[in-house]
Amino acid sequence: MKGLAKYITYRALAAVPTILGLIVVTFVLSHVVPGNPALVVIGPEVNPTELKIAEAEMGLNKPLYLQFFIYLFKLLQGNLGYTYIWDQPVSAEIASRFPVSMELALAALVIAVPIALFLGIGTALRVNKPVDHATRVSSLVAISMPVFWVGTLMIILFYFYLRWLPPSGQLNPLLTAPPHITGMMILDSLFTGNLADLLSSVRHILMPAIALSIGLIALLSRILRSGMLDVLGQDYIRTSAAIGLPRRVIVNKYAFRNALLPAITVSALYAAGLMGGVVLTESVFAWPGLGYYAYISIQNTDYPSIMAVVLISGLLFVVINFLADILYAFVDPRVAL
Amino acid sequence: MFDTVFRRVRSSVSSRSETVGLLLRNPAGLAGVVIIAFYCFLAIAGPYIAPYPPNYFPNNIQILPPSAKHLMGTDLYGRDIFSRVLYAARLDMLLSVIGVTLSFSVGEAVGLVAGYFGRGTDQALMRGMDVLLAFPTILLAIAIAIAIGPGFFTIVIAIAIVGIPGFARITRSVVLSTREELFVTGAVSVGASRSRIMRDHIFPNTLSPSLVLYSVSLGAAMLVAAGLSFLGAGIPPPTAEWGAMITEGLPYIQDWWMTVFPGIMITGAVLGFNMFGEALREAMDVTLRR
Repeated sequence: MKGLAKYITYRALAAVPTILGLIVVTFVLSHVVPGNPALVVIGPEVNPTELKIAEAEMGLNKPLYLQFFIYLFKLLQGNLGYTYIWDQPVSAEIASRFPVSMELALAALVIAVPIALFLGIGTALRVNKPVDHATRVSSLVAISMPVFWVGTLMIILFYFYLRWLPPSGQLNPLLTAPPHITGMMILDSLFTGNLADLLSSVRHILMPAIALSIGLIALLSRILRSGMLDVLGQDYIRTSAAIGLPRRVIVNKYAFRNALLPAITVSALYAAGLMGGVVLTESVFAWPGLGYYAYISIQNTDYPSIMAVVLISGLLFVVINFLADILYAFVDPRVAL
Repeated sequence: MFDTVFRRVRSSVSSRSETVGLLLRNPAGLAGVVIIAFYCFLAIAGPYIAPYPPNYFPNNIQILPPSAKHLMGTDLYGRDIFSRVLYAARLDMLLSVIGVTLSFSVGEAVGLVAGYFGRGTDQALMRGMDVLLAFPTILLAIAIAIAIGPGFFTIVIAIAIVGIPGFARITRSVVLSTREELFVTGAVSVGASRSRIMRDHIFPNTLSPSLVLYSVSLGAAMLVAAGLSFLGAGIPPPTAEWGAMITEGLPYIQDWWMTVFPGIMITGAVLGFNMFGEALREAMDVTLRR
């Protein structure tokens, strides 16, 4: 256990330079924005004195390294700037939208993981059979489609032609939203026993969650397939087959568990891609999470908000990978030694 | 003299032609080659095949479904979608090829330097790459595009920057393993200079894995370019670009042809690059194992 604690500390310390780097990158990007950020904030039609005051307020007249430390200091206080579009601190906007995105990402995972497990293991046990080839081709096609295009096709088919599912939003606007408990609509309506809200929110989340899960299924099933193939070629699998263990036991007990290991690391690395997918998917379906917030901010050239979402998603990636490393150490204690 | 003795027998002609043979015998590889060739053809000849100019506005603006006159229908300004799709091929191919070539060059250089010099240099460079990898590709590209302002080269630069870490990582890992090989030790022992070892002995070995990544990255770059257009930070209108065309068609879901055809074009191109990359990886795995 001592090794594990040491390992966790080491991993946490290793993340610090990356986090600092993330902050530097967003700082640089937000300070090379063309034009005067003060102009962006207070609007183009101001007199020079007002502009000077605004610049001083924003610290733009100070040297760059000082501006960086001010930026860093504000970040440590949780101050991400102010959004004039929504007229509130960026941090408040992000805090309220975070669970909304989380709900979508979790829903996509709930859809993707069982399907990926089924496909990944199934194809590994039928290597080079027609099923295997068909799955490979379809997953190649799946990762080649722009996610916002898939979303649009789904809207055209399931909303416009079939009228099965609503095209956008999180809840039927005629319904009252459940009280805010977790911030996730489905859970909140479940907790309050509001069936109408529950049904509506499930119907709303289906299309974006499926659109988001497609890439995830393709990726996860491929990792699981190759993981399974690696493990199935190992000596101990042959031994257990030789001593007459049933195939089901070998696959479920010995092969599958070890094939999961690489899936943890690769999924965590894919988290950045998933977040990118979230931005595009939320924008297509007007799903009011962080990605949609980024989308609206881009349309309104609301720089502080865009940069905040960029920074937060970078930080989130670091945190997810930190957690994945620890999870890995739990599953495979050898890495902490 | 000894130097030539120890010089690495670079992937000999036989193994190279073997890789190509394996690639073409693989149905996915062949399909990839054919698709890429088709898109290259479109990029070159597209504007000559197109029946209308990309921004030809007819006098009576009509959104028309696909017909013999307009193979893919017309868009909200009455422009011929087939022609615009053809014109966009050159732009989208150029964006990806220039962008990814830049990522490749910079990433390759970073990986070589980091892997060869090791220690502090390696740490500093690779931590920098980790930082770039931590941002979701599309968001980093957006942030870059917004910081520099809209335009062709902005998108090229955004594509280039988000692709650098991948090339740097893969190159570095090859350098680390190649550095320990006997032919490098040999070259060091006969007194070859560092730059010579890097250039003649290590660099050629990093090219094969990078080539696989290069192909796959071209597809990824197309998706980034389309995503940038969709989010409103891409090539400004009225230039024909596949992602922008999808985006323009979004509000008109009853006129499905506006979004469907440009999307098929993107998917086809990305699929071609992915298939080629995958088949190439498999072919190289086989030849390298021998």
